[in-house]
Amino acid sequence: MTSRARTLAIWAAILTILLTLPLYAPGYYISLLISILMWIILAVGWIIFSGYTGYISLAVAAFFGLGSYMTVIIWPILPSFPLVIIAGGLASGFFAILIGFPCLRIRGPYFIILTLGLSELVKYISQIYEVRVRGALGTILLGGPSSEVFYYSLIIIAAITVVTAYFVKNTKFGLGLFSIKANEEAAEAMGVDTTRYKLLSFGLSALFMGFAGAVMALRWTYIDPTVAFNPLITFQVTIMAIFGGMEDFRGPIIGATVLTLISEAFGIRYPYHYMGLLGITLILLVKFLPTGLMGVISRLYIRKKIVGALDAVS
Amino acid sequence: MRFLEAENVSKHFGGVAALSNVSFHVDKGEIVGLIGPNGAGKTTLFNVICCVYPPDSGIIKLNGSKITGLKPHHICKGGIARTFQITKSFGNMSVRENIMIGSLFGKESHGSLRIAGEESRQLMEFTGLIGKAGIPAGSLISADARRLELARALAAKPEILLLDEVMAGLNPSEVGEAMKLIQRLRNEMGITIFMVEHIMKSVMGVSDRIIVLESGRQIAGGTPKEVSENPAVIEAYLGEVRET
Repeated sequence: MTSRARTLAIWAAILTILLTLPLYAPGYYISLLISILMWIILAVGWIIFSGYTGYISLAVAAFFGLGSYMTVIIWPILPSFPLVIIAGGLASGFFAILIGFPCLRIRGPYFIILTLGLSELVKYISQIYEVRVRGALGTILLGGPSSEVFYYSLIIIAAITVVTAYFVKNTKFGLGLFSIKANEEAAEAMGVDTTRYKLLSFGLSALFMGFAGAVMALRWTYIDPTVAFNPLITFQVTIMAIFGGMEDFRGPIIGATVLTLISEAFGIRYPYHYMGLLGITLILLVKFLPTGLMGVISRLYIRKKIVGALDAVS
Repeated sequence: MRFLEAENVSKHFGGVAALSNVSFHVDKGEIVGLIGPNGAGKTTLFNVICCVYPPDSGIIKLNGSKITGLKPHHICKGGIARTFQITKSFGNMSVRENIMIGSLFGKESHGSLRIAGEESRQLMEFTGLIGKAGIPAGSLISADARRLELARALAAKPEILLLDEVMAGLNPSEVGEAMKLIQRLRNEMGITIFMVEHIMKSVMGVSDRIIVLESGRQIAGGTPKEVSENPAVIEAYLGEVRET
């Protein structure tokens, strides 16, 4: 079997297991998978911009929260699940393009701090609005769909996110983004419209974060600004992507899955030990394995191939 | 109508006049050399032409239409490609991908990775990078990095090529090859060349005309012979010229 056919077969097998799981697996596993899928969407969405262009955005929570708040606004008036998802994604995507105009002129650490600050700003503005203008903090959302519906919608969104990340990377668009990461000045001189490319990928990345936010608002049934715009969401996503690798979609999938499972096993019982360990792991990773787990896996794979080729020769 | 033309271009950085009232032109099909001592404003002039930053005053025209105020990617799509004095390759991308960027986004920009890959293969052959397609550009030796700069700029299908010290760091036999290559670009591909070069023998050897800058001012212009006999040029270079 060729390696391409084998890869496709593995993906088909994973997809089949995922699609049939609710038929026989206990509810706990479905809940666990819902949470893994949410992190996959966010982390894969994150690399479409930050992984490909090298601009590290800490505004994940802003886009996730904005998606959630579209559900808060629309659901009580028009309780249609697909509608709130699409509205949430579009709102975040447009917001990203709007703030991208001024923000994407700034590079390096300043960009990172700016996006984090913006995300916090959006959180406090919505907090002030709820407390001062509306007079009540938080919203309870009732009448959401069943676990199975959440599960299947997240699979569909995750699949679209992954396919998008794949096609963005393997087309002209992706090469343009990678050239911005490698040397923005040279990219511009070679004819890449860097401003437009950065804006488009920033918007695309936020679109998927908005989808996730809109879905999770109904899943969590209660949303207030500290829940929706929680900066921990941003840090988790960033760590997952760096942990797994940011070169293509496989890294964040591995990162999101592994870290969600670890946090499920230890995070609830020993939250502080878990966070501390996560921090140390992240420092070690950035220092010694900047390409993440995926980088280690592909290096091992290449070594195996070379050893195999040498064996064949001798 | 001139092909590339600058009128009274000035550029200051703080109190330093990097360019003051520089006017020049390059006709289609010419090879024009731009020389001058270190700090004369040569790279600044290239950056102004490529709209990396705008001039404080003066305008630059390509084919009669004003290009000052555009962005660098417009300039590239308009038919001006450049190489950088300090090579600026896409270090973590392969040699092949580097050249593909030029093909995909340059003057005849298109979306086909297949065509870009094929053009990239041809240019690797043309510039002598065969067998290095998969190597990350950042790990090339200096002569190959220069070749890549040239190949990437050519992939953008320029009408005029700005070469910023493309021969720096090459050994004498490589300089000879580079000179032949530059002449082939003009003679066979019809690309106009505007080049900054420090190696006097080579720039005098290939150029039809030479423009001399010193401290941001244009002090001489003409054929290589006229320029090399010009007293102002000799004075500017006294103790500076290193024959290679």
